[in-house]
Amino acid sequence: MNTDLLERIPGVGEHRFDAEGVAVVAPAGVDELATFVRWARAERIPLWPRSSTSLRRSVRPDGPGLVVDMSGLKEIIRVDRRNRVTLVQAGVTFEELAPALEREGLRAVMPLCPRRGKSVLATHIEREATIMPAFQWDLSDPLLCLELVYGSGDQFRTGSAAGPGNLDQQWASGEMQKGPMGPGHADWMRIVQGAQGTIGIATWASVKAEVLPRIETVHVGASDTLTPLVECAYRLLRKNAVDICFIVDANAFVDLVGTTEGSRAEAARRTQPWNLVMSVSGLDYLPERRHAVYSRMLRDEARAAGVRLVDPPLGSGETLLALLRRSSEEPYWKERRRGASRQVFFQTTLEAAGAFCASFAVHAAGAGIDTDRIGTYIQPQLGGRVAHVELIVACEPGTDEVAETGRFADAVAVPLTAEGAFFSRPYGAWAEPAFEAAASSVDILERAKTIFDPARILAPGRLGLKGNPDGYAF
Amino acid sequence: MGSVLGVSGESTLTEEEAAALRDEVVAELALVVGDRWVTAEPAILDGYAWQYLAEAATGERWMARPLAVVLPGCTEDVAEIVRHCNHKGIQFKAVSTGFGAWGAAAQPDSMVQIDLRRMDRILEIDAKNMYAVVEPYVTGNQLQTEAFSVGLNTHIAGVGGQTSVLASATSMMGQGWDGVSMSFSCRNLLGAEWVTPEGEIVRIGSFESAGRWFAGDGPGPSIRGVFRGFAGALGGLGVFTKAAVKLYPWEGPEALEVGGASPYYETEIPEHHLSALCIVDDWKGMAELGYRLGDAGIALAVSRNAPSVMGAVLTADNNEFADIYEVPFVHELYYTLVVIIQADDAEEFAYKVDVLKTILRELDGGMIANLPAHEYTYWLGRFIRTLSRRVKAKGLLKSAPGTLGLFRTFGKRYGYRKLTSSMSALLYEAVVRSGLNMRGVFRFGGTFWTAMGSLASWDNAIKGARVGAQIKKRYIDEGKFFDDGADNAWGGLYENGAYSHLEELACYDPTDDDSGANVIGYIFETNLASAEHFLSLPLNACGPQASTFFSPLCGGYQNWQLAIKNTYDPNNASEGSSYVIPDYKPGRGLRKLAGNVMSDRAEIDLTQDDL
Ligand SMILES: Cc1cc2nc3c(=O)[nH]c(=O)nc-3n(C[C@H](O)[C@H](O)[C@H](O)COP(=O)(O)OP(=O)(O)OC[C@H]3O[C@@H](n4cnc5c(N)ncnc54)[C@H](O)[C@@H]3O)c2cc1C
Ligand SMILES: Cc1cc2nc3c(=O)[nH]c(=O)nc-3n(C[C@H](O)[C@H](O)[C@H](O)COP(=O)(O)OP(=O)(O)OC[C@H]3O[C@@H](n4cnc5c(N)ncnc54)[C@H](O)[C@@H]3O)c2cc1C
Repeated sequence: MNTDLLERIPGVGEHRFDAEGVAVVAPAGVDELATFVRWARAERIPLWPRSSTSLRRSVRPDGPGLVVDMSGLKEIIRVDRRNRVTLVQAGVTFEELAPALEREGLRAVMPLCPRRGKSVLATHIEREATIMPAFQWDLSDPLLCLELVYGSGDQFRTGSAAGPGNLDQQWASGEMQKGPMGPGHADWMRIVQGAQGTIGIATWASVKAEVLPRIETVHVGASDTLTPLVECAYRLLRKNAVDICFIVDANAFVDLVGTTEGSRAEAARRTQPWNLVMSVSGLDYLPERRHAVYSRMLRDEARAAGVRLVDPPLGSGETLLALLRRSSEEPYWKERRRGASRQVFFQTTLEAAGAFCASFAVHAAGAGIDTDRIGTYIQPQLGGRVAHVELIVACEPGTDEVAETGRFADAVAVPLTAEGAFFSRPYGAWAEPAFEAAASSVDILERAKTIFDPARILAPGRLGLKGNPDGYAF
Repeated sequence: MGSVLGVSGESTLTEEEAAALRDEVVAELALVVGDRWVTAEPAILDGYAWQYLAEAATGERWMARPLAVVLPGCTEDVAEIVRHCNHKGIQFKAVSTGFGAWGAAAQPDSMVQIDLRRMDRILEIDAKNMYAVVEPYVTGNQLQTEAFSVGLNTHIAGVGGQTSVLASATSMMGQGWDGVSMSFSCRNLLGAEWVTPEGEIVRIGSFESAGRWFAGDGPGPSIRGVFRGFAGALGGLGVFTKAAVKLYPWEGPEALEVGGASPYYETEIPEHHLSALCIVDDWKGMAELGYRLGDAGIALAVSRNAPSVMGAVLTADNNEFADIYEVPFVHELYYTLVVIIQADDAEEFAYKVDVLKTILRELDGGMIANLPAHEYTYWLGRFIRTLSRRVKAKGLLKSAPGTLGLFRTFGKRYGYRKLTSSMSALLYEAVVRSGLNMRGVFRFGGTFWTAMGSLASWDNAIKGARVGAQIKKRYIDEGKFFDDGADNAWGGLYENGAYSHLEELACYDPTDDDSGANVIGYIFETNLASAEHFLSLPLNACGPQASTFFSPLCGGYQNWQLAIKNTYDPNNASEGSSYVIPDYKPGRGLRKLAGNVMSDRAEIDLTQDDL
């Protein structure tokens, strides 16, 4: 690695090599970041933004260049109960944010038990699925406004955070960075979101939060097949009766709740083939009444759909709720089965999810992966209009299984895309089939890249976007 | 005169050149769509130039005539027309339902008007996954009618149910009465088919990959962000030929019972629906009411309507309005929100209504609603008590004859049996069907425009409404605008109060020669105040002029908009006078007007109680 280059970096207080020898810079704020990006642009040096802390393969750069590590920006700048919003710097994690919001009477909008070290900003800037579809009005939710530096080195704030006025002036005027669109005739946040770091690097985000219920209970609907659960979820989401709402098969449920060998064995004995996990809440006004009305609807709809209401496979409803409101315990739940895993995820509709799961199992069998290694997690999004389908394939670290699983996970996107799966977040090798199937978008994205990152220094190669025609400095 | 809406100017062609070009264009486009669907008949071209708000854009009653009007029948036609315009070096602009100056030509003989009215089909309603796919000429009420029949509903922009769903979602704005439960137009977009300014057909979202329209973002970054922000490109970045939009649960009958004949509609409020006019004491109470309703998540619609607009909606003509607007009880109905509730069954309905009552009790407010008789009376009593704190004993006495007169009129019109519910029913019709708006804004002076209205926190929106009213009062005092009590802020909550908007409507007479200058002065002054009071970007922060003003205050976004325009429309073929003009410089007229406004402005005093 080129240490001379590191010595020449301007304006960035700190740089280092991480445990794996990757050169890392950690800008202390937006001005420093902008100076640094302008320098990298002039020098044609690839930059790989990250905000979470973890040494998973996925957060390492895909090629040469410098990692821009935003994980040290740890401030929760604001929590505003009245406007149900929080403003967080890039490095704030869910284990930090969730309790901070609860203290103010709010709950965080979270993915299903995110791994420790997972940045809130990175999660939402990647449009990761969250577990409360009723509160998701747009797939961009809960992300509202961003402060960022484009690949060009220009600073920008999106949405109502753009101005007029700085944060203090806006706050004094009662504006809490809640308008997600604009400024003007484009949605700048939306162009950065889902870009895997290829358009800009964000320093903070305003994020929607929801009222912390006075009462919330978790319920598990069980079934031997998926279809009744899908029916039940459709009906309850349509009635706005449930807050948390997702589906897991037995493997994924065991992984989610069981941390020790003993607890996993017990959970495996008690869990059902398919499970719809839901919560019903009572908010500030007439909480018992609200809870009673929607609990009754939940029971009625479960019965109508032929879904059995059962106890959680481990612990009580309360312990399950506590678990769902926090980051995952170690080890990360998706890695409990065999120590590591690869996930294959895409979007479809709820009623089509079952066929994709079945097809996935066939593809997996073809690659010698038996169903015991696959966990299924189906997350309704956007009020039930979209399903995030995630198949978690377990593998054993230190064995060939890891590489084999990786190859399979990379390759399976091809047949799944052909069957109609929508890889809306196409990481790594998935980009190729995803953009082949969305060919009319490619030129639009290429041109957007040119606007915001003219030297193509940000995460080059991701999303199949072309690199700098003159190459890079290293 | 330059305008805040668009830029107008003289033709660059001689009359002979223009005539020759028109003939050429008509002949060539006829090869694409057939003779029947293209014309340059002056009378027809004038139909496209006669536009709402033309006086603000051009200083006259008319927009410019386009070169020709073409009516494509399908996406491929559109693409071919667009490619043809690029090839010929002329501009084009699409209209869907064509409800304003934005869609029309700013400069004579400069562009081909693409009128999309032949593309009028609802292509799909996916009832299970709650979305619809529509062509440009599908209107809000058309989609709503079909959606009701499968237990769904659609967001309708406040312009009214007779305008295009697609235009609002892809290209315009999208404020509406029902935002609290059905969001803002562009946030409901689940993908679109886009003929780019160069004539490429792009399909955005899941459709191209999956053959279904359930998701509008990805793969990767969302292209929705390129063509649509707080506002769309208002025709300046290609043509949208299909849009998929979210639908929402409708807990009502397959069709609403609407009786009577225009203008005396009678809508039956369905079972388990409440239509309530809720009142509190002041703006502080309004702020609390809004935040609490947002938190509670019980409402289908939450809308603030000033007394003048409500008076107009409730009455059939200006004479009737004048009579009731005199009544202090009506005239002073400033601090009210219309709240519509729907529920799945009796138990949920009772819960939701009880939450509303709890909130109103906390705020010492009342409501007029379609409640059972004894409750109606109790809550009406509270309503009158709250209002009496404003109008005092004198106002109370003064109101008695007028109120009785109003009851008599309504009793005769709708039947005395329906006396208590008729007002709720009218408000219900206005809000749920977005059906009575035109009377609210066009009847007084002939037209209206609006200001402030950023999408922001509710506290901030209320502050904006107060600033807006103080500015407008001067225009009323000077006789430039109709006297609607100054505070005529309309708006409400979106996404259960996640954000909100209040815009300051101004009604005026467009036949008055100065009306264009007056309204632009108003827009400029309110824009200025929005910046000074940190009220976020107002709805008039659109188009080249306003972007030039606001851009330096908001991170230079105009430079990025320019980059988008230049990148995706290198030939500047898509007429962008209300969006981005590549070489735009503010004209002398506008600079002079700005100077005038700046030298003589309303004083804003937010320490005083309003009104
Ligand atoms: C080859 C490959 C394979 C993958 N396989 C899997 C898999 O099996 N399962 C799975 O769940 N995911 C997988 N991913 C996706 C990966 O997990 C995602 O990137 C995920 O979002 C990581 O999030 P993180 O919390 O580690 O965030 P980070 O790595 O910190 O960031 C996530 C993404 O957001 C960008 N980003 C981070 N911070 C910022 C910022 N401040 N501003 C702008 N952009 C920023 C990053 O560049 C990155 O693309 C894979 C990715 C790759 C490249
Ligand atoms: C009484 C009244 C009230 C109003 N209230 C509101 C309100 O509450 N909320 C609100 O959002 N707006 C409001 N408006 C403004 C405006 O009329 C609306 O935004 C309306 O949605 C515009 O739709 P339209 O079909 O009438 O558009 P059109 O006039 O057809 O088009 C509007 C703009 O979009 C462009 N456009 C239309 N279709 C396409 C297409 N297919 N492809 C590319 N560009 C296209 C046009 O060029 C034009 O610039 C109001 C207007 C009036 C007259």
